[in-house]
Formats: sequence, C-alpha cells, structure tokens
Amino acid sequence: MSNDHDPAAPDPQPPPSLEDVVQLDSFLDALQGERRPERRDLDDEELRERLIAAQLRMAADGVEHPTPAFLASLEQTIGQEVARQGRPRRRPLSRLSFLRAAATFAGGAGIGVAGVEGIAALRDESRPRDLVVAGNDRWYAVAQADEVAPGGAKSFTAGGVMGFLLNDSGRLRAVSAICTHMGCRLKPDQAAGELHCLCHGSRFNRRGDVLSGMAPSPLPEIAIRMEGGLVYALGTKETV
Amino acid sequence: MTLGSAFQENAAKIFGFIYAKVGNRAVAEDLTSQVFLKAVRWLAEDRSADSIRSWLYTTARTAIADYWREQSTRLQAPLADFEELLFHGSDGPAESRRTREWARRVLAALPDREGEVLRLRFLKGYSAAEVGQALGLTAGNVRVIQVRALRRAAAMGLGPVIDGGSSGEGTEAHDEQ
Repeated sequence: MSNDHDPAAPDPQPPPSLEDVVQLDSFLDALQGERRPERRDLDDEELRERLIAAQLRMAADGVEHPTPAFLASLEQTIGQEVARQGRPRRRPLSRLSFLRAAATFAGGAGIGVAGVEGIAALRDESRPRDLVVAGNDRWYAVAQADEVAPGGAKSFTAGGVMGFLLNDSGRLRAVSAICTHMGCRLKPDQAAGELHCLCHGSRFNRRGDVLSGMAPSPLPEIAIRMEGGLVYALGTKETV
Repeated sequence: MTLGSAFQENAAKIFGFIYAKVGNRAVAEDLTSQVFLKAVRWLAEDRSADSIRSWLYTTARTAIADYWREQSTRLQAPLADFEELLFHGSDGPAESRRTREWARRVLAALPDREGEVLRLRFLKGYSAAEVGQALGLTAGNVRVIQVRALRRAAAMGLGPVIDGGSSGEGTEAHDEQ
C-alpha cells in the first residue's frame, strides 16, 4: 500500500538464523490457534518480535472478545473463591441463618451469572458476610440421576445443608428444606407438588416460591451437578 | 461496589486488554482469571467502582509484563524498552483500541511484501504455507519475510507509525472509549 517511505530502521538487517525463523513461525501458529506459545530460550530481539506479533493480532476485528463460556466459568470460580476466603469472624451463627447463607451461596455458585451476584449481595448487607461459612463447602452425592421422577421430591442432607431434590417437569433442582419463616423443616406434599411447613403452614412450590403463609422469602436454591449418573449437591463440611 | 457488578462491568474489557497484549485466547484466559482471583482477596473491603477498575487494569498490566518476562527461559535482565513495546499509555480502558489502531498502521506502513505477508498471516489467519501459495513464494521464504517484518515493526516501536515525527508519549492524549 503506501510504502514509498520506509519508516524504520536497520536495513539491511542481519539475516535471521534458520532456528529463529522456524521458531517464530511456530509462535505465530500458536497465536493463530489461540494456544499458549511454548517458552523458549529467547534473546531480546526474539522477545521483541513476539511482543510485537502478539499485538499485531489486534489488526483483526473482534479477536479480543472473550467467549461466554469462559466468562461464565470464571464467574463461577470467583464465586467459589469468595466463599472459600470469607471466613466467619464475629459471632457464631444460628443454625437457621447459617443454612440460609450456605444455601444462598450454593444456589448462586451453581448458576453462572447469579453466582457472584448472590455472594456480592450477601456481602453488602451489614451482617451476612460472616454468614458465608467458608472453606467448608463440598459436593455430596445425594441421589441417582434417575431416582426422582417428574413431579417427585427427595429429601437429602449435604453436610450441614438440608434440602429437597425436585424434578420440575424433567429438570432437577434443589432447594433448602428449611422454612424461611421460623426455620422449621419442610415436608413435601407429593399430591399437590408443593412443600409445606408443619409449624405455621407456609407453602412453597417446586421452584421454592412462597405460595401462602408467613414465609417472608423464597427457599434458597442449592447448587447441584450431575456426574457419572449421580446428582451432587453443594453443601458444607459439617453440621453447624 | 460489589465484586459481582465489578465483574459484569469489567471482565470482558479486561480480557480484551490482556488479549491485545498476549495475542491468544488461552493465555488471555489464564491471565484474566488470575487478575479476578486476586481481586477476590483485594475486594474484602468495599471499594468504589473507579478504584476497582483502576486496580483491575494495574493488576492486568503487571500480569501481562510478568507473562512476557517468563516467556524466555533465559535468565537475563528484562528488555530495557519492555514497557514501551507493550503499552501505549497508562490509560487501561483505551489501550485495546489504541493497540488496534497501531496494529493497522503498522501493517499498512511495512514495505509491500512484508506487509502483505503479515496481513495474510494476521488478518486472514493463513499459515506460512498458505501465504506462500497465495503470493507464489515458498513457505521458507514466507517465514524469513515474516521475521524481517516483525523486526522492522519492533524497530518502529509503539509510537505513531505513519503520521511520523512525534514519539510515543503523544498517544496519551487519546480520549477514552
């Protein structure tokens, strides 16, 4: 194109060695393949060439956009990390508030975008930061993948977290088994496809939404994942 | 500001910032993760959106520089002009755009054959052999030309390339995106 002038530098250049030539080519191949280039014994000149080559990739449009899959998985990792690092400091927790926090964390971490937000929300309120009992979360096998039929429910305990595994029209989900009103244990009402509280009569649907009664908020969701035909729920190491 | 909203607001941009300096997805993902995991620790205290953003860019910058230092297995003092070859200015959010403008100017400013080889390599994603086919050269020729082209580009530095004269410092005046 516009090359009447040669804007730079040492010409004639010393000829590159065959080794340089081949290695730089494989470095460029790595960039194009979006792979990590190999580390090598590079002199200053070779390192400069690579710094420049890496930045020249930006000549193409849009190469620098992250994939949604990467962002989602990083967000999830961060959620786990937040929980792992935030240690309880101030006061011991009531069982209820602990369970609520643990389940809120668990639900958040399992759901991509909701992950960090859920935790961040916790941290922003005045007390809950010490609710996230951290370093204790782990996955528990709680059911066979095909064990809960559509419309069915199975109660489980994942360390200190009690929950129900529910099959909502073919989609498995887990919610806390503790009523958000006074902390009573819920019972499934299989016929109605609901969970209800024997203490004060609150009722929840299979997504954890409050249908009736005094419960102030929906049931926290608990993160689950499938592996090797089993369903794992994210719980805590031990009962608090 | 919460880590969650900081993530949503900055993650893709920080990735782009890093990508612009390492040129491949795998390393950009590694370093982006590294930056945000550090942020988890740092964000134990509440911070403003501005201070989070500037912390993220500073940390990304350090991660990029460290990555490049470690790319050579040779134990040596790092390049004297290291930072000058890596960053156009201190303003993080505008850096990806500046890198793109710079990259296009460089590709346009190189002598014909060298420019053509790099354009096919970087814009079309051709391998050396494919570039050779397109230009009637051997793959070996192409490999030599691309080394020369990159050396010439390195000698130009990151300053304004064609519109010549001023040194890299002037780029600081660019407005943010």
